[in-house]
Amino acid sequence: MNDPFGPSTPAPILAELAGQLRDAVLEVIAEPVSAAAVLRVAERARQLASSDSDVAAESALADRRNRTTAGGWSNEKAVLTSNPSGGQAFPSDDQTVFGKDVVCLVVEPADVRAASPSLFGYFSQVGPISYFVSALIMGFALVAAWQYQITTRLTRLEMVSGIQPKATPLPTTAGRVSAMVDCRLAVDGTSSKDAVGFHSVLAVDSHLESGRQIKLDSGAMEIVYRSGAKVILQGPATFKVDGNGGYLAVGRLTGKFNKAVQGSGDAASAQEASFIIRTPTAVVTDLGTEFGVEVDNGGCTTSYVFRGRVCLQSLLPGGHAGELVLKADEAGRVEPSDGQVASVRRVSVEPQRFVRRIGDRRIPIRVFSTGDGLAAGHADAHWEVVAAGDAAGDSMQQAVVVRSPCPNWHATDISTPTKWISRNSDSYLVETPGRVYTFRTAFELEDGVPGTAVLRGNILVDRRLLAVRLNGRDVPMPEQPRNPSQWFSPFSIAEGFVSGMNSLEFDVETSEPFAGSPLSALGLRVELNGSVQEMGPGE
Amino acid sequence: MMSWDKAVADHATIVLRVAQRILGMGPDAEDIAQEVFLEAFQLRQKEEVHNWGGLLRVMATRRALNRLRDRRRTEPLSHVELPSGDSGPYENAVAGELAERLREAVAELPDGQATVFSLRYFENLSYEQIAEVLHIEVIAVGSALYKARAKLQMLLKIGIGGAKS
Repeated sequence: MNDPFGPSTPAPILAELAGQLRDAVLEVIAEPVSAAAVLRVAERARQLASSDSDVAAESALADRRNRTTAGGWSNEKAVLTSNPSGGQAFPSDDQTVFGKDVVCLVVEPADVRAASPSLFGYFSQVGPISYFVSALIMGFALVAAWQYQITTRLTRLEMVSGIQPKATPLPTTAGRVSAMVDCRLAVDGTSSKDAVGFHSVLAVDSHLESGRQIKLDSGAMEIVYRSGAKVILQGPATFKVDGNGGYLAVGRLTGKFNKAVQGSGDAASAQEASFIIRTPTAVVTDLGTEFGVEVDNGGCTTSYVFRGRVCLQSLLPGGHAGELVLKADEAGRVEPSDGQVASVRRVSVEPQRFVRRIGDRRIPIRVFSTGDGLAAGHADAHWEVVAAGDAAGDSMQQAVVVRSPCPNWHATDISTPTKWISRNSDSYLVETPGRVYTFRTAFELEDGVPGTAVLRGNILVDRRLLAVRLNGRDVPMPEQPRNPSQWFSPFSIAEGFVSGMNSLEFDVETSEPFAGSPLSALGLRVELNGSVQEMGPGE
Repeated sequence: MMSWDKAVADHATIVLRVAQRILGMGPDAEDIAQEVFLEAFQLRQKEEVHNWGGLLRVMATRRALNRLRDRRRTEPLSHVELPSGDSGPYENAVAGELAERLREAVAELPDGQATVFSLRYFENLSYEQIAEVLHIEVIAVGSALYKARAKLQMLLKIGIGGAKS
């Protein structure tokens, strides 16, 4: 994770608040951030680095100029002078370094300037006239140079600060992002490469130019094309946007294109005006329909039709007969292994794999943090523990809230309702040093689309977390601190969910035996929360 | 060393979000976000930044809180009567006003408490993360949060004007 301070677990944190304060915080954090504003901020920030080093100083000047315009500094004037101290410069709030040459931005109130002693009087009293003439010439030269600099700087200032933003035409776009749910984009979490390889933030309403590549690690993103076609991309997926369609390198998407194509339905006529998804092994041409496409890591392309028709063509050599027109509830597949389009079979693919609707409504997943709401010594009905290697069920037992947690463990406090659980209620000690125990909890996904589910949490363990599994499959491990029993490790799971009951397991290795004792420590404390896109009608 | 473009791409949303949660939607938040990036850019030229996320959050939080207080000095408070008791149609109707009242109340907090409160509840940082970015002890974070919560509860309950009087 690039940002160690990324969003973690708002639910346990908000549990610290009550009443109106909690409601107010919820109101604040629910306010959406304008994607257009993010783009403006990012663009201007980037421009800081795109120019030479004095851009920063110019921006500072622009800031001052803005304030002056706003009235707060109306009696002040900004002048640029050479370093008045003649030696080392100490840039402060009112001084800015312009590259190698030190120039000070001195802000003087107008009345103070008027009260300055007269230069003429000084020279007429003590200095030779030649000094005065020289100073005068130097002064004219400085003023001329300063005016030249100011003119050119202000031109750039306007570009950098946006005081007078110049209209820049929007690039030709293929479409825009219309919705995002728990999206995490590869590389840095929020941005993706545009057509020329430049990273930029992707947010709702971001324009997508043709050629934009989207690497979605998790979540779901809806793209609306200028033609009106829609694509819902489900992470993990890699997709390149085309004018009316795109290239799905790997992952899943659902396409929706309502324009019915008249004619025979053959691929040649359809491709002229249709929505087309290309994959490494196939071309899926929409004939006015709603369909799903999935490309696995081996390049196998599967298409399922919800309604209408699609034409599935194999791109594999030798696959001359590889063209099928699929109707509703039919699925086709291009297998790289044999270079042929597989036979059409009715509902051979789980339609639930494809997200058909994306919106703002997500529903919480009913998951259970360890010891949540339980008193010390009580059994936790939502968590089981078993020693690895034991036959499943033989020694499986309910985990219990540890009555007297180890003094080295992160203490139970107001910040979270979770508690430490272990195998025994009376003690965190077990008689099996260095052994692996599996803690297991289960939760149900009934009304949500499994592909959009996300679990987030924080974990503490003693002694060491060895694996995390969802439905028997390993999921990415959280980064573990040096002392995992004292410092929470955040984690998130965004794939591997199934409809119905899901099982989440944590393999925890016990500590080495304590000195002079056969006993070792075993403990787990997990904060869990999650959400899933609510299943729409007919899904 | 993280490139400037990457730092911007990574954190533009975060910085704007921090500012917006403190100042509300509007030009002020965007203004603060740009100031933060300018300050960060200048800082980056002087020294290597190891934790962009923490640094930018703190800078944005502090600048936004300052702007919030400046705004309060120049603009009259909106006196929105908050409903009391259980939820009802009226409460739902003015629910959006709660956010504004909270911002006004946060502006009343001492600087340290306001910063810690904002990082904790607007940005979901843990006690340890807040302690790390503010260079204070974890226990000080807990203490500041306790005081901030108590004062905010009171301010929201009796109203800002009531607290002052």
